[in-house]
Amino acid sequence: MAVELLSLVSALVFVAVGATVGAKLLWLAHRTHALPEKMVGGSMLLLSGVAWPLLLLVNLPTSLPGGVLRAAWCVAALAMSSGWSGVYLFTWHVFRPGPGWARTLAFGGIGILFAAGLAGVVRGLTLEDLAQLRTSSTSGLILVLAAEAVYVWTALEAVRYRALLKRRIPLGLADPLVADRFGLWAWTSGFGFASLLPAVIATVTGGDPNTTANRLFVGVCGILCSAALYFAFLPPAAYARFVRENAPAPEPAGGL
Amino acid sequence: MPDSAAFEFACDQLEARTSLDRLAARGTVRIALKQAGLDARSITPAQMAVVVQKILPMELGSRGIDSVEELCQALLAGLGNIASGPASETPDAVFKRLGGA
Repeated sequence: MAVELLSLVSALVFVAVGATVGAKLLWLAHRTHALPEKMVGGSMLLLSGVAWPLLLLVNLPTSLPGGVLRAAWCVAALAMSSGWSGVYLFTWHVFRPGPGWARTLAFGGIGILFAAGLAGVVRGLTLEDLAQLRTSSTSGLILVLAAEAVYVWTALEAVRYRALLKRRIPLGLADPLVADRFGLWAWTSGFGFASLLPAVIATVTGGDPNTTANRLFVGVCGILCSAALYFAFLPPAAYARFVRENAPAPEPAGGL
Repeated sequence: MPDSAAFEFACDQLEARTSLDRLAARGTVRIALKQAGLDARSITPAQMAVVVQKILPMELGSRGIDSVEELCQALLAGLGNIASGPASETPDAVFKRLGGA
């Protein structure tokens, strides 16, 4: 009972925080017309505000009309592939813009996501036994593995850049709150990665992704992911003050 | 992607005014930038000025360079004439905007 409650709370918190962050960033994009906020705002809204609620709907224990289940599944598949594609684009554009390995990785990942997403749509439209929508599939595994890859990539880039900013803070060349935001983005990605692991492992080993331990693990990861996302992009004034006040003070000039 | 104008200026001045050869001058500046968490390709004149004030004196001193203070003052004066160039959006500029900081 406690685990079910935790799972439900985790899912609702993830939807609420992710959708709010997504909406906030898309509103920012409306003002700035800048690509990064369009990419990451769109991703958050698609993943948290569209895909996740629809997946919850598909996995409800009650039986819904077949047409509703199919539609929910297909839209969720496309929302997931689009949402995670946005994260690939964001990571490439912000951290490694221009041609090179990062562009290849981004577009390769997007290609895989869309292929897997379309395969998921075909599956949703053609499956006769709709209960099978709740079980794992090859296209689902590929979709999630592509998502795991972008979570790893974006987390590593965020950790690397945070380390650079940490060195700049004592020189007065970086805002501690912005440096902290990179760390929180890394945690968001890290917990996002972790939350998908039970599903990946279960699909590969033929195990059950819905064991009590797995649901507890995913529930905790979901809450921590949401918390990191919240503090990264909706930081309360008290939190911002705390981060800035506890940052190293700028050093005096050394020798001049 | 080529190195920034501020980096090239600092390296050229070190090579011209000290006993450091081109490789040593560029290496010294790169080490200073690394300590500051900055990159030679994207560093601005304003950022280089901070490096010159706060990190470069110690690096030059450890290499036995004389008149470090005079040299760094000359670098600072010259950096004031370097144009910043077209601003490319850095990750920290993006994240600053995303969080509303």
